[in-house]
Amino acid sequence: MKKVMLFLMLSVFALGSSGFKNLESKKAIDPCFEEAIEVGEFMDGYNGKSGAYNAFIYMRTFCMSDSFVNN
Amino acid sequence: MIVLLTIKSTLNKFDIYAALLCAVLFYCEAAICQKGKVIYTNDASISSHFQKIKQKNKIEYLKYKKLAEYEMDLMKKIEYELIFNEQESIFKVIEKKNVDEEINMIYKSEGIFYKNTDENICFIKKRFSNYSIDLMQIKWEIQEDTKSILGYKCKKAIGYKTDKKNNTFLEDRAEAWFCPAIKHSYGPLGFSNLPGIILQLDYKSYHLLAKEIIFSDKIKLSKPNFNSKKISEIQFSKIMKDKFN
Repeated sequence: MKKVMLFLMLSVFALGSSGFKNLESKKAIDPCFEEAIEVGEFMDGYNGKSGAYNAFIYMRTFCMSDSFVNN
Repeated sequence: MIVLLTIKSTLNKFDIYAALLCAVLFYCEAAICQKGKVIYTNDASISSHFQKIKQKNKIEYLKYKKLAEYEMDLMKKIEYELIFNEQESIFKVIEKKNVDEEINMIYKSEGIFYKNTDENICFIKKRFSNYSIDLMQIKWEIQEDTKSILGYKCKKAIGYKTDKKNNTFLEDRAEAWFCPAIKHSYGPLGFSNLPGIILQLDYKSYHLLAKEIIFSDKIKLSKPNFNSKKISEIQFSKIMKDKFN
């Protein structure tokens, strides 16, 4: 019984900390760049253009560039 | 000493005077001619947005790696020019003909940086809207380091963007090498107000280095005519973020 409880506690702990890590890394990512990746994946091969190309065009149109302060 | 004596004996007076005259003219050109152009190459690194992801989570970065490197490779192909006279300057991409669509996209989205005694603005089109961005001031610390760029002695300065409330954005650190011999306070990407023109600038993913300086009285420039909304750099940054939150 004790072993089962210990195993459950460790699993909950592991799942919980992995959840925190994802949250932290998601905060670092500007949602615009996430959108760019999604657009790229969706449009991969469209009109003979790669996903990276489509993601890049989206990024240049909509996302913040490095020329300016990132508030 | 022996070497100097040998040189002195082999060269005649005419050669020495000619060499001195050339040296004087070279430095006078920079001092006298007030109009010119600096051409920069960009040894771009991955953009700061992707750099942050990479630092926090290398596994998460793998999702963005292809796009980050794709962008970096394209940015390395872009050259820029800083055109200046006594009163104003313009910094923009050098547009070449018959380029790929992605390069054309960069040409359209990099913006034009204009500076005169009263204004320091970037005219840019983003999300199908035109903006005139009133750029932030830079707080400079001039260092003791020196180096030579294109034969000009340059000094190092470290700068941070500062808003009107005097808040300093420490993440936005710029390293500039400026030439006191060329007495203009202009530079790339709106970085200015050093006692000399900036010939090298490292700021986020931009690593701009002067590859050519041309002095010419034929250089003409004027403030771009851009129908746009006028906002501060902070407001622009908020607009770019808010629409996706």
